[in-house]
Amino acid sequence: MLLVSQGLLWAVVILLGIVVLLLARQIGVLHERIAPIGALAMGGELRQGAPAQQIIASALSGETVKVGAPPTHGRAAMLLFVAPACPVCKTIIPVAVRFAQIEDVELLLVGDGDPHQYRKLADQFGIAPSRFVNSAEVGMAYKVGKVPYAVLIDQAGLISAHGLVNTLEHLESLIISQETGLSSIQQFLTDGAPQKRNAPSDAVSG
Amino acid sequence: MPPVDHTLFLAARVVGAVLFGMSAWHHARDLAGFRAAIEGYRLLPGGAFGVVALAIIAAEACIAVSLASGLLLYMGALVAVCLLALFAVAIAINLLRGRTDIDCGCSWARGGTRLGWGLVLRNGLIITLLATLLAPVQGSPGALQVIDGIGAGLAVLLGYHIAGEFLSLARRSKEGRRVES
Repeated sequence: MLLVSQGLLWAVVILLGIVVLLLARQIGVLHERIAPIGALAMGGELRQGAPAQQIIASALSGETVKVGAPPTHGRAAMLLFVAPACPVCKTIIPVAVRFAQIEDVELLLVGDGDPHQYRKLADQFGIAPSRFVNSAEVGMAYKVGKVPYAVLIDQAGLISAHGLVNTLEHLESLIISQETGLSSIQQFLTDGAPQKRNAPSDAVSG
Repeated sequence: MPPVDHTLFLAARVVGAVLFGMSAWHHARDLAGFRAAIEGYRLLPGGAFGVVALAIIAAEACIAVSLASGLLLYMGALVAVCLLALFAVAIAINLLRGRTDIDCGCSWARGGTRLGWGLVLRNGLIITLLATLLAPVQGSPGALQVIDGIGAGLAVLLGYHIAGEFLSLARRSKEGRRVES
């Protein structure tokens, strides 16, 4: 009786071990499937490599800013379209500010609405009013339908990448897209992994 | 050396037999890959790689048969421990040379496994387990010890594979995601 119960006990232990092994492999499969994560490029109105429209707009500080101009410093300029009523925007703004510092990107926030609310938003996240533009024209020119939406402009004034950004990974995918020249996740999957960086996980989808 | 319990002795035999048997099978299936892995270590003169690869596969197969059948068990265990120690030294030399990007030739995963101190530690743990086979055992095992020995051996093998899967997953996850400071 003892022998049988001991044998059964080991059988259960080994069975559980096999289940854990299969689950571990399944995690690997899921990991492979979800690996290419990137910002969702909406509508396809903006094209990678096309010149970014340059629009004169007023910043919250009252200064005149040329939105869409190539960066004066850093490797790229990023327009981040946000709205005060959008909770995801409030999550992404501090992430984008830190991201811009790390990646040496010139960040410009763009809104469209009540200047008072945007001023409050800028104060809340410590954004300099000169780096926050409130203009309906910019959003329309870049055909932004949903926020938070980011457009990355390179030093030549061309659009490197763009897309709906909800996480740090989405922001990173814009830089990856700029570095690799792969504009979409489809292109990434068709042409293979990017060569310039070790992280094949991010590419702009669209 | 003090005598060891039959359960531990049997568990070590199961682990050794399965590990070396599967290793010989995988190396024989991809002989060219195994030969290239040995070449990658840059420890042997040119031309010796093919012969050494075949000798290692033959030794692994003999160890597996010896541990599984109990034939020349002491000799089989001794060769197994020496072979693992030799692999650990070869890995350590290349790690000290800073050559971490070569295939260890010791993994059954596609694409191989890069060198690391973890592999040296892994070999050390298997050596410790197989070293129990060099100790004497008293009398013959009881039925309960046989069941426990085989069960524990299979459980250790499963644990070994599960750990390998999770380590590989962690490595892929690390490679796929840049760490932001």
